[in-house]
Amino acid sequence: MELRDSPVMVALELASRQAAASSRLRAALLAGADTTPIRAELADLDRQVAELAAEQAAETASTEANMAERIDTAAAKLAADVTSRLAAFQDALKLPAAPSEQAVSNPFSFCCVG
Amino acid sequence: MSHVDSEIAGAAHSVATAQQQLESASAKLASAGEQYELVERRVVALNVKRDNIVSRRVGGDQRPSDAAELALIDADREALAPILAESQEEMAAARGPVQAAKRAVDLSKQNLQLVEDRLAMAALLEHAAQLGDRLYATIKQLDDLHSRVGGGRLPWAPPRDLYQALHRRAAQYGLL
Repeated sequence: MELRDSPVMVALELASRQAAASSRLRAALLAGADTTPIRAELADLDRQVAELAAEQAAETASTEANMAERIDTAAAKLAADVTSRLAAFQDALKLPAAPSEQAVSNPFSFCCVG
Repeated sequence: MSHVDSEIAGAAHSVATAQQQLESASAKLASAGEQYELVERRVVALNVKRDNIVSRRVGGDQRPSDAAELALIDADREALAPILAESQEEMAAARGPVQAAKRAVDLSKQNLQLVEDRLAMAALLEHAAQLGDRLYATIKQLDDLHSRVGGGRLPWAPPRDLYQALHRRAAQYGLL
């Protein structure tokens, strides 16, 4: 983008043209000249300033919406990665079966009592 | 969403937000840098143009249009000077948010890691409790069987490292 095309420079250019037109309007008023063309020019400049502001507001809103969406997507992926790692970690902690009490009980213990 | 899931999601969201802010701050810094370079290139081009005219005139080649051209170059340079200063200020101002965003990314990543570590530790604590129960039950059954089988000393003892680790824990908890 050329320097002169940047929004800041366009806004500065419009502000400068507005100031110049206002100055000419003042001079025309004092001289008793026809102010119609200058007023039309000022109205056009006001319209351009409003359009530029609206464009920038729309761009900001769109950027913010995209940003929120990107944050949600990235957060969901990060959370899924952590959850998956923890699940794998817990899976790896599974224990083998406990020794069965039944298998080592002594069915003949009655024989030795007394 | 469970408590665990919401804790992970919250920490992950903080990381993603911080990363997005870093991306935005870096883009603003890059844009400010580009803007500055653009103005600087324009100033350099004007300087070169001016130097060329001056050199040519010093060499004897003087043209009627030189005075007007030099005046125009000086006017342009004068007009660009505040724009250049402003661009430089914007670039300097854009560096702070990048540094702050980098710190925020680091901190949020550390926090997410802490959440993950805490959850992994909770799983390990449960695992250690189950292992303790299993080991104790196994030793009891070994003792029972050994008392019936006989044959001197039970051919099993906890490995030295395990014994020492358990001993340290027992001492810490006043179990000795």
